[in-house]
Amino acid sequence: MARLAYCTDVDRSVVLSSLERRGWTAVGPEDDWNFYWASTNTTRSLFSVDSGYRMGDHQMINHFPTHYEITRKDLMVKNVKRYRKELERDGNPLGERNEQGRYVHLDFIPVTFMLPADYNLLVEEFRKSPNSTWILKPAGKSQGVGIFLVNRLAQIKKWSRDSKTPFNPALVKDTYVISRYIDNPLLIGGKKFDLRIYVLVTSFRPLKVYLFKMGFCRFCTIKYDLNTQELDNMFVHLTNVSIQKRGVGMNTSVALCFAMGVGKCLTKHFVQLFGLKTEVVIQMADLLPSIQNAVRLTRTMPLHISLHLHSQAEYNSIHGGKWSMENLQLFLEGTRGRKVTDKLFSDINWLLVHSLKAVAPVMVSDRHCFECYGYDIIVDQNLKPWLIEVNASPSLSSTTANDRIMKQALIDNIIKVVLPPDGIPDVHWNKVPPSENLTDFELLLDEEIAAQLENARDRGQASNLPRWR
Amino acid sequence: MNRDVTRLMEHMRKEDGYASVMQSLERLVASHPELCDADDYREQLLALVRSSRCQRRLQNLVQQTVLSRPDLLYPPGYPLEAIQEPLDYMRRAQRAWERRLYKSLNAMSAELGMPLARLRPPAQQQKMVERPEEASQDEPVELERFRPVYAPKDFLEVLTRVENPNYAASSSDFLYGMVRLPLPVPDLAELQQQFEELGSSRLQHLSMSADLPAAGKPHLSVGQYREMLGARLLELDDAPAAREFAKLGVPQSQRGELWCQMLGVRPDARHTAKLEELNRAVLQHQLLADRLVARDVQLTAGNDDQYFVFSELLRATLLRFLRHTAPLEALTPLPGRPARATAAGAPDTPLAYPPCGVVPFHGFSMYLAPLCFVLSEPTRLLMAFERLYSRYFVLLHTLSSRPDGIVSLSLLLERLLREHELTLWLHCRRCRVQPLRLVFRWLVRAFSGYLRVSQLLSLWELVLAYDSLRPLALLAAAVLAYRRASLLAATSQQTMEAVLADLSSIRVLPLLRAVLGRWTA
Repeated sequence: MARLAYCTDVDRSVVLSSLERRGWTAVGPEDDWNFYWASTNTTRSLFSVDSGYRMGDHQMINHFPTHYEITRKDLMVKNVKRYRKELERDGNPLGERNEQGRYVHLDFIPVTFMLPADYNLLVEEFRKSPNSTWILKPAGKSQGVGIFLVNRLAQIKKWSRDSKTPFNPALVKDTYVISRYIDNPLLIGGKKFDLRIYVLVTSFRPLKVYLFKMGFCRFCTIKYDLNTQELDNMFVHLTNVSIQKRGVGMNTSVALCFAMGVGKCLTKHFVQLFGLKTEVVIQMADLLPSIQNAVRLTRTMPLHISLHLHSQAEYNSIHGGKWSMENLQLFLEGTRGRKVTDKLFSDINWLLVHSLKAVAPVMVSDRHCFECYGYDIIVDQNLKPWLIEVNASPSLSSTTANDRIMKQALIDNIIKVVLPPDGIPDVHWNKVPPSENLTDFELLLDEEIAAQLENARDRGQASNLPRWR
Repeated sequence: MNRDVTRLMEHMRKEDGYASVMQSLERLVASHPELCDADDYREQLLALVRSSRCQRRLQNLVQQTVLSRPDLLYPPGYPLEAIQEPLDYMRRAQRAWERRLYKSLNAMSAELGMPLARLRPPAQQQKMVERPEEASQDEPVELERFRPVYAPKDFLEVLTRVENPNYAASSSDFLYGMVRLPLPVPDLAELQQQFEELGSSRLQHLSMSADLPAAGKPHLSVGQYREMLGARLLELDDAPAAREFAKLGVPQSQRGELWCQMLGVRPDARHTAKLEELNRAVLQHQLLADRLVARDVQLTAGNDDQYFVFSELLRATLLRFLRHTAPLEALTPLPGRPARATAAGAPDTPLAYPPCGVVPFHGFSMYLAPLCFVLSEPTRLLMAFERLYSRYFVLLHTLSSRPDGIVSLSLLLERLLREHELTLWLHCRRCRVQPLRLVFRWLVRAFSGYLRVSQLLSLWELVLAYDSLRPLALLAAAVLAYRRASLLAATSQQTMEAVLADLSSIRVLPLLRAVLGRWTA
């Protein structure tokens, strides 16, 4: 095993333990590192023109420079739409559309529009399905900051009028993305869930995709709202709020929602102010710094604020609300049948591959790079998967023992797959890992090998190369 | 002979599928009007029935009746008590255990100031209907005050203290084990006969050979072949055939249906109406046992990373189960006797408490949890659970001399170890550790919560297919045999428990085959 020099600016034990275990030495970013487990910010500055940094033949980094093409919601949607239109234009059967104008084979993202650019298209869609609910998200943000649900066109119109920034596409700094809310998600045990799937990409041209077999379902633990108090003007009113903790095992947190006169408001960004044990009086002055921070992040001035008290069932440290994909498959096979279950899983693989194919033409396929994406997928009641989001830096913190074991296996396995057989990063390696290195990864697509097989078949030669799935 | 048939008919009439079988028979006869004038009416009728589907359905019905009413094997007028439990001392021990349980239940009720049952105030009923998810969270503080009525280890203590007054316990046969009772227990040769398919390595079990080519049909994989056979069986609706099929593994997608066939679960409108009635009963009355169930779900299934998803479903189903009196009738031939309580307004009519006749204990919800992976419809889930429980699982926590009872299973386990894993047995003896104590909780829970779901379903399938709980004892002994090396290196109870703590990597069929093969070699 080669002893490499590594660098990391992600302080996560699952990463550090995998790197240390191999006997690698830690160095700084200025030194001669072979392997860099970086954050997206560092990657951006490393690859930026001003930095003038040139990576050597024996260096490897865990992000592609243009990863935002798939992780920013607006760019991802744009790339998928462009991909579909090209296939349609070329007469490729994959680009086939049905009478309603929906793509038959590539309908894996909910109907989405960019605001303010596609405003008119949105209005048309709204007229077609007046009872639909839509979810409005800022394109560049993560962690659920500034997300709203709307169900009336009037709400959007008001938002566009009241917004401080002019409604000029050239001047608006923050694009918003509005997509159809999946209001019929598959429920198991009466609970909603989404899927988290890890996908490793070692190259975009030719596309090489590996699926991590240990994906999982994340079940919703939030139970219900307790109480709402509205404050008209946050700066003028300074009243005290009395909150009582309810029940054993309940973590009461205060969620600050910014309603800009737009319908219901949903935010995943819980501002956990206090670990409330008993009855407590909260001064408005204590809330002010958090409010100011949130305003800065969303860059909007709220019309009014509502204070939601959420009672979140205490985080169970044994299962953490996470269910393995294996159990999901077993459950679906047992209760829905084998055919539809197999179809769901192959639809998921299809979604993964085509979302990456859509983005491949605009990605800089730097040979020094690999990337592990965290896909968030929701399954609806017809067992159809929908792509919600792709994360370039999926969370590496662990909530339960099983979680920790899985993430450790993930990192360890990634390193095994991305390094050449001799263990030293090499830009000239053909990036075809031996099958015993895959372990918990499954090869979804390797365009290079697929092309070789095609050629071999055309020339009538037998081949024992791994097959494309 | 005729008397037995009359008795059989009497019980058959009460069975669930009776009405529909009679209907189809009538329809069959009505469609052959030429029968009425025939001279040999009887022979022709018999021939007609034999050649039609009714034959199979009738067979199913008869088999179901006989299996669920073992008292039919006894002459009429035989005292019920003796049928339930022929051995005097065992009966007394079970009664004593029950008295202890019921006393403890009463004490808990007095201590917490909660009546065993009471009417729910209408406001609360309204809330339950409108916001069911909130209702499940009501008074969570209170749940902590409820202790489970008992745990498997308490039961083990009671079991080991049972003594046969006619049997001198100092006999050398049982000197080393915990259970000192002279109940008949099969040896390996008998087990091999009973579980022929388990030991035979040339027969392909689905869970071991799913992707291998099927013997006799090499163009199909075993998985595909079994699915094809399973589909045909589902149409047949023949319980004995389903059992034979299940001995070699049922594909997961067909398990729900086939298990229902084997258990005789055929829900019709009556059952759906019953379910509605039970839902109403849940709203109207609040039982102390409800809290026990809620607490149990919270502690066991709610903390299990495979079953936590179904917590709500488990709670709802068990609340219905508690109020359903049908299990009580099914339990009558069994040794347990439910607690009797009298309502405040009617002191002369004792009712069973809880109405289903079963006091939920720590881990009770784990009997139901694995079923959520094969059945999702509430009526079928409840019915299948009731049958599974009253036919098999109840024997795991009542004292009886039945060959499938927990006492016999414990004896079987100890015998297997003593005869085939002597080194391990002696090692445990030297370290003053009783192997039964290490594995008892697996037996009482039928391994639920200890094995991975897919493996557990395979194990329960064996229980259904062979209509016997012995595979549980076999598996327990096999696990000990498999981990022999680590157990021999351990010297204390704690270390041994640590060796046996994690069963998630156990694969049931390969293990049973390997160990049985080793013992018979």
